[in-house]
Amino acid sequence: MSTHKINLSRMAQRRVALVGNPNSGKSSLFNRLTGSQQKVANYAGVTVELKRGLMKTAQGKSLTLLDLPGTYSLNPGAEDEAVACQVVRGQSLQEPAPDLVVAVLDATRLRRSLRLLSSLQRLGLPLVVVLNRIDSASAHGLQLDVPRLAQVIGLPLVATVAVQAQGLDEFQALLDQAHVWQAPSPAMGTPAGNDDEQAQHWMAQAGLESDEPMDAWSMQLDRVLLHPLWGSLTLLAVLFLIFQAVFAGAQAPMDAIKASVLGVSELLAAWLPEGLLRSLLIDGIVAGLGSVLVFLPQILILFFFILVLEESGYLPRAALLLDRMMGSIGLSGRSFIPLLSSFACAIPGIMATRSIANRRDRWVTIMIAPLMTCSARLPVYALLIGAFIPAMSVGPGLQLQGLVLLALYLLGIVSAIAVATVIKLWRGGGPAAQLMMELPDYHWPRPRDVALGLWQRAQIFLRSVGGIILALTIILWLLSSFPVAPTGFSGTPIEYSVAGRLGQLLAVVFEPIGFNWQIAVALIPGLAAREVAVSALGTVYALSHTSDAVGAALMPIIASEWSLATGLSLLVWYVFAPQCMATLATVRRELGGWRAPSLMAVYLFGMAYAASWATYHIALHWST
Amino acid sequence: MLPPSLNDLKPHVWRRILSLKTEGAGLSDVAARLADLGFVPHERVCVLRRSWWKKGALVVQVGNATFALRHSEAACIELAP
Repeated sequence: MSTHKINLSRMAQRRVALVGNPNSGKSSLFNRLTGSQQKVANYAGVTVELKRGLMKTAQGKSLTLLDLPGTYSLNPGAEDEAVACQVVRGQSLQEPAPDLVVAVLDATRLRRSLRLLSSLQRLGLPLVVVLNRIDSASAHGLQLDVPRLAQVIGLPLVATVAVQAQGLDEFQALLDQAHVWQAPSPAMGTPAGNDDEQAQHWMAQAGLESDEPMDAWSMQLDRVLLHPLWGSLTLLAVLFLIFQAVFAGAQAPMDAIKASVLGVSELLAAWLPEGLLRSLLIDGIVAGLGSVLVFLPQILILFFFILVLEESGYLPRAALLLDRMMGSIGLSGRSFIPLLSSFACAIPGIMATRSIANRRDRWVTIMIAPLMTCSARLPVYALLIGAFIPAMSVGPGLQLQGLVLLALYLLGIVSAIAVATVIKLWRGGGPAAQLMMELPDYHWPRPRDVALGLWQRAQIFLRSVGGIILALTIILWLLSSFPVAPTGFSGTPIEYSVAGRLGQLLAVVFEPIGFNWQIAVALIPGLAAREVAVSALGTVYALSHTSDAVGAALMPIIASEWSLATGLSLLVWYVFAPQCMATLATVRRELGGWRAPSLMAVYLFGMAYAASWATYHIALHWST
Repeated sequence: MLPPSLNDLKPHVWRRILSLKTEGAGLSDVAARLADLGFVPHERVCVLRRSWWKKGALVVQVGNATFALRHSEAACIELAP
């Protein structure tokens, strides 16, 4: 029936906000009610997002449903909680106050759920209650008299099991009743500071014990998974598995994406006449889109694991196991997830720092995130290692080339530790980083929620990061193509362009660290995305740009034209140098203002220059 | 004599919270946050696991929720004898 269809065009719908503690099953409820008709309004890595979706009441009226980040109280701790509090208080600039608040109570953790409910009552907004996870509560032996609890609280209440879609019909029917949309009389609500008394009062009146049962299964699992030795070994195995999957599993889709980008370029090359339009389409737009898409497989595989670990409840345990290690460099275990994400790409890593409550911790984590070796460096490493490091075995199963690659990863990690330590000493401890992290019950990840999360992350990555990288690729294409070299110009066309001239000027700066002008020129287009430097080198050495074999063709050229010292120096440069403008743009957006990205660029360039200088001179000395 | 803190509690022994310590640099923030998480007076707490390091993080059960706390955070939680 057409009247039951969701009307997407009518945006003046009533707005309903879901508010609840973290891990109360709020997001499952949201996913069940809205299905695929949802949009992430405000991205931030893991869990920290403001989701908006469309739902229907039993009579088919459509409503806008907001899934606010989980919060323990209306006094926000972390920035994600602050988002939830601002929205329900009507203080958010992006979101007007909701017309109705749905308090999602976790039936297995009633006391603190009721405490939040008590504070929500003070807002004076229309309020209904969803008592979720009643199946777990009864499985744990908790006898819940739902009608009595509803009567005691005095608000419309629906009991649900969101993961099984139980009770949702009743909830949808409730929203058709006019009275739930009316604001309560102002007499409702206890004074601030008495929320816990109110919660206990409700529980006592409903005949509920204050000592609620625990999930025995989770406690048993934690005996192993939080054990200092067995837990750490398990964590190592999990991390190894993730890395293996990210790098091995992404190879085939990445090759397929590269091949299709190449196919499109060749098709365009065959169809279009030689000239600027063809160059813009192939070297600007197609190359730009290609360099965005090529990261997608790795990022999706990484996010798949993070989502599964998060859904299962393991992620905070991993953060706890690493807390001691992170604490020694002045951070907390919460910095672990953003830094792990940075191995695929620093941008989602930096976005994921929003769940770090402490501002200083978040700032330091963002500052060191680019030192984690992202996958864009791999094509550059592969080219240079292939050209300068002999393919020889240094022991059973040990290849020298592989060891050098490992050393580059370690160099990044060790430098990050050093930088964090320096910041810790320089800025003083400040207030000690807070941990205070909940370890939720374990449960099996639900494929539906994981798939939905993954789909949203893919969209967000393509939309926000894709735009930046594409724009930068086009700008740098312009710089590398104009002014056009006159006929009879002896060098390659890129030498005549703005980028080429800039590179030749910069060559003076780079000479002390062993870079020739060709490298300096290639570094400029490489600012769009690190791996673009490989194809730019191909352009400088006048190789065909669209050839898939640029790397292979380049290897003998650079091996014969550059000294070993130059090659090693460039390798080390890539460990540190802020060769990715999109990262700096993300830092600016996340921290606001130019101070942080400028500082990041200066310190990374400084470290890159110093390390390359040292490498170059040591290698020169050693090889002569 | 000072009341014992959560750091003095042996693992797997249940106690009730007496109060949260608020005097000291930054402690009022920590105490407010702990109270939001459910570390409220008269609630039952139990240490599930201690780190192998002396000042490492603790795994604490409060009510029926489990939290990881820093040593310094656990020090704010004063226990009823």
